[in-house]
Amino acid sequence: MKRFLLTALLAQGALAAAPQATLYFADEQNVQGTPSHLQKGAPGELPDLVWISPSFKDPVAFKQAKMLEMRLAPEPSDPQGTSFALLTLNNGDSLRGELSAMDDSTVTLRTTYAGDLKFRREMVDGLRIIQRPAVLVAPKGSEWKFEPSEGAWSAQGNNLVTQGQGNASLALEYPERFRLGFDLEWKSGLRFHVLFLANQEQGEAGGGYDLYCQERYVYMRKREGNGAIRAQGGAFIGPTANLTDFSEKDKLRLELVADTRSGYVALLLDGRTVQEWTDPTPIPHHAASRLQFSSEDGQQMRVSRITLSPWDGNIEALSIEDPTRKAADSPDAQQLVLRNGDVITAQTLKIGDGHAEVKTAHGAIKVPIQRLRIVAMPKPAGNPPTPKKMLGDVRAWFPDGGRITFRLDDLKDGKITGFSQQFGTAEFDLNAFERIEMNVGNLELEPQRPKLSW
Amino acid sequence: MRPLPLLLAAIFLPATLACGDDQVSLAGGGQLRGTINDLSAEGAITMLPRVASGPIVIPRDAINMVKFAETAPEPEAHPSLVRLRNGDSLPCEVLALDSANLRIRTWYSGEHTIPRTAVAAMFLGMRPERPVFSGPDDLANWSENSGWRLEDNALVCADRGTIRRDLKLPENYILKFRLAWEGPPNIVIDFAETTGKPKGPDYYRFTLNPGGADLKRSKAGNRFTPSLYNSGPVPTLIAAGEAEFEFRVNRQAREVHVFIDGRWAKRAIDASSPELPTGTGITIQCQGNNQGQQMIKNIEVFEWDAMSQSHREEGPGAGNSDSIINSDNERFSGTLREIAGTGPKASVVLENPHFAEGRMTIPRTAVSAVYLTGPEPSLPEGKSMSLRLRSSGLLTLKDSKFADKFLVCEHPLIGAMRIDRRALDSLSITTTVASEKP
Repeated sequence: MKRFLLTALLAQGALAAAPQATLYFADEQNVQGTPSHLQKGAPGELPDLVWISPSFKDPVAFKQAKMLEMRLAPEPSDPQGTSFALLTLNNGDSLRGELSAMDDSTVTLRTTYAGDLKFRREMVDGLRIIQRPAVLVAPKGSEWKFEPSEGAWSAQGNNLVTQGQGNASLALEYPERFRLGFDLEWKSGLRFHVLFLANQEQGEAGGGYDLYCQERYVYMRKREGNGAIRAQGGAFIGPTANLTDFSEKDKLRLELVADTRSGYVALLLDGRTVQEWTDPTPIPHHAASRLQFSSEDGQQMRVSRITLSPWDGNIEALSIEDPTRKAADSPDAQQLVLRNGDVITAQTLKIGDGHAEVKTAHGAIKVPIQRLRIVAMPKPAGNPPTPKKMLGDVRAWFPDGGRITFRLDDLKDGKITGFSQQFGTAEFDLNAFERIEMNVGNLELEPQRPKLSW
Repeated sequence: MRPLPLLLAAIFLPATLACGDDQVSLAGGGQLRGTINDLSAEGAITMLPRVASGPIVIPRDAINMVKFAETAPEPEAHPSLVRLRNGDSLPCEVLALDSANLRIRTWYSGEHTIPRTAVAAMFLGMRPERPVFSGPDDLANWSENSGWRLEDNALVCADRGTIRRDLKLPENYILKFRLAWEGPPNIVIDFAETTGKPKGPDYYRFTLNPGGADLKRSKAGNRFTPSLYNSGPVPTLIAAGEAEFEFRVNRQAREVHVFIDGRWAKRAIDASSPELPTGTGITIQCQGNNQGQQMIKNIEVFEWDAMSQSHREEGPGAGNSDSIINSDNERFSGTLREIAGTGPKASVVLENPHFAEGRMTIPRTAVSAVYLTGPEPSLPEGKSMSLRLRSSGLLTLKDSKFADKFLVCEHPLIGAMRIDRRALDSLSITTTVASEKP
């Protein structure tokens, strides 16, 4: 008889498929499983969270006051509609949804995860109309191809993380005009390139535009189908841009805006256009099917919140500044920026049925919501009302980077009920959130909160 | 085949274990801390986690490892270690050995009689690793400080800095420390250097930077030997932001063993001169990286019983006979007749027709290691628990359960045991399965 030993890692593999969430506590404690419901806690304490896990014989009641964070596996949503907005609240929270109504007292967002959310208008800091929410290309290990398979890129939750030289590539369909964005974080000097509008060559990315980001400059090259650099007009597409963003920061939002008919490509860093290129012989979008991130040896980077959405081709609107600050200087006025760059000062503004009814000094205007770009919210007179911090407050993060803070009142049947002075009581789908930070008012817990690993 | 120690060596424990807490690492991922109240005969653990409102039951299959809190110091350090044929080991006092049995005494489980056929080796007269230094302690005890500060029991340097100290390194020693860095590491540590000013030319230089970890020996004329150890670039090590380094130096054998994060990395023979560096001091240099702080903490020095360690690694040797290795590094083969007597009169009797009178009697105090021949044991099948003792022991147990302050269990070679809870370090689940020969 030949004998061999197996460790309990076998059991680990068997149990790994079941958990849907991870609950983190102080002192590096954590458990995996499924949140079940809230139940009455000890006298004077917050309700306990009952947790189901194959690791425990019975459901376990964990003390809410001891929790740092719950990480979940959110399901991607595909909201329909045309009047989407990014709403920013006066506590720094922000969330996306369909702007369905606005009057003197409330702003209503229609969401797939909580139905209609009615926000107190004086607690809304900003409202930006966006095109249909970008399709979130959330990293899922099985969809991405990593080269080498170990030691460089890997998927960690909704993040792509790299420790060394390698590539991470994904198959996707590019619209004719698109906006490709992702959050980028790095350590110790950025040396990174992203290959977009690439094609598929024997399972690997080839062709396409290679955007190189180094510490003090950025440039773009065009690759032939076999990976070689195109010689026509030199290897570079357009000029090299000198910039300081990569050397002065360690994270930013990088967006590539492209029109595959005209060959126009723009690079935006944190919403600011920093460089534009034009390829006289553009790569047609239907010939491209791959996106690839590449890192060099020793480079630590994290890529997250990868989005791809159609772009309306409005180049001028790329660099329009948010007039919120200007509007704050004249609180009686309310300014609207339209997609074409026009700015309207509204005496009254009411939104509903897909239109904004604007009364101006020169008469009434009715504008479809999708033609709006920014709705500046006038600052209320006196001290602006800020939401009161409450015991049991949680901060829930959406996969698209948005977040919302509320008091956790109930959790059961995959729903979470919360209260906030900003929107009252609402019931959310639990699987709309990527993570929920618990006890956000307890500053002593801050140093212990789990951090994303590199 | 005994892979058990390797399996356990692969299990890492967090350095920040809260004092006084038992810790359970779950097979499905995750870990909890609290108090373990019970271990049932089925292997299920009843625990009161600090974060739960009541006790919970964790089935055996859901347990990866249990780390027990250190509630009290061990009352006794045993001078010997018995290694069994299944790979287990017990720190103990050897009372006697005859042709049939070995008798031992332990503080944690009383006396046991073990069939001689179950014993693979005995290591006698081991010296515990005597602690020599634990720090960094007070900054005032260091010298020539430029740029270092003490913060949470760690030496921290924000840019460039140097600091020195006489660590009183013994003849053979273990030097270990934990380095942490923000941005790329860039730190140089010279050890075994003379403590005068200026320091002598002969010392070891350990360097950690993005190119990896490197150990060289310094020679006169600002020259260095080729690397005794060089990791080459290890992005995962650099990315981790911290690591523990350990150097075991055996001056007689001219060996330097390198460990990184508890894992053995290299045994280097330093043949650059007849003697290894004799200095007892250390200089720590932060060379700056313009990106963040670098720190060193958990600096420890132990006297190293390098000879016993060497004898423990030697193995039974070729042939089908027992072997004895004495403290003069001599090795004799034959049939071990007995270990008998107590105190200074205790002796080890080895029979061999080539010896005068066919036998040799060696004072027990002169014997370092004994290897016994015997049949390969049959390992029990199914799930079992591997118990690690605080003092380097390892036991494979079946049917373990807690009773009062003891772990009551069945050992496949020793039989019933009642182990004092103070001796327990950790418990992990192991599955032994049998398959047909190919």
